[in-house]
Amino acid sequence: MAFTSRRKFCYFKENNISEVDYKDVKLLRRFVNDQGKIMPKRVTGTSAKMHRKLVRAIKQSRMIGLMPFSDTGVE
Amino acid sequence: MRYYETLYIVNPNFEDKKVETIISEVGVELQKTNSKPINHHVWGKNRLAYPIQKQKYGTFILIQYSGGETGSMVEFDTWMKLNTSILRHLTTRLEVEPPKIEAPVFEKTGDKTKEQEKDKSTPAKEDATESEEKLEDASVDAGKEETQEATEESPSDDVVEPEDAKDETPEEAEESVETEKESK
Repeated sequence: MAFTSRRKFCYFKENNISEVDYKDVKLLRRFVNDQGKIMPKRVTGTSAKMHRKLVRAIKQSRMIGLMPFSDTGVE
Repeated sequence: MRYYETLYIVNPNFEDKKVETIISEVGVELQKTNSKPINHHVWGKNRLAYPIQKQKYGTFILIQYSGGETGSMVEFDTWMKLNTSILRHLTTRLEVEPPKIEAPVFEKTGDKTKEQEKDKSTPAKEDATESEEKLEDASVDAGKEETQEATEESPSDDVVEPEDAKDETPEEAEESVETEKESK
C-alpha cells in the first residue's frame, strides 16, 4: 500500500441533515469553489439525493443575493 | 395545510419606521390571500453577493405563513414585484411547520452583538495602528478593492475609520443569523 486515502462520505448523512436551507450561507459555502461554482459531487462526496437538494438551495440562495453567481474578485 | 416562507430584501437606507410600515403593508397584502402569518421579522442587514438595483447591502425580512390560495398568491407575488421599495423576494415551500418565534429575534441578537463588539474593540486597539498604515496605502493606491481586503483582514478597522461604519452592519447581521440558528 503506497498510500491510503480518506474515504469520502456525504457531509449531510454524517451530520444527519435531511433538508438544506438556502439561508444557511455558511454551510453552502463549503460546496462552492472560490469562483462561486458548485463543486461536483464526485469531489465533495455528497450523496446523489442530497446533492440535488444542495444544488437547489445554492441556486435559490443566488437568486435572493446571498451567494454570488460568479465571484471573480472584480466588482 | 402547506407552509410557505418568503424572504424579501428592502432598501438598506430606509429608517426603522419605514421598514416597519413596509412590514405592515406586506402583512396586510398577505392577509388578502387568506393565509395566516406565523413569523414576520427582520432577519438582518446583510451585504449582497452582487449589487441589486445598485444597492450593495440589503435589509432582509422573513415571513413564514400557512395556507395561501393559489390564485391570490399569484397576485401577492406580482404585488411584491411591483413594490419599488422591495428589491427582491423569494417564496419557498416549507416541508415542516416552522416554530413560532414570540419575541423579535433582531433586538435580542442586537444586544449580543453589541456586547461582542465591546469585547472585540478593547484588545483590537493594539492592532489598529498597523491596520491604519495598511489602509492609508490601500486607499491612496487603488481604492475600493484593496480597502475591502484590508477590512477583512483586520476587524479592528471599525474603530479607526468612520467610513467603515457601513461595514459594521453586515457583520452584525451575520452574527445575528448565527445566533438565531442557535436559538432554534
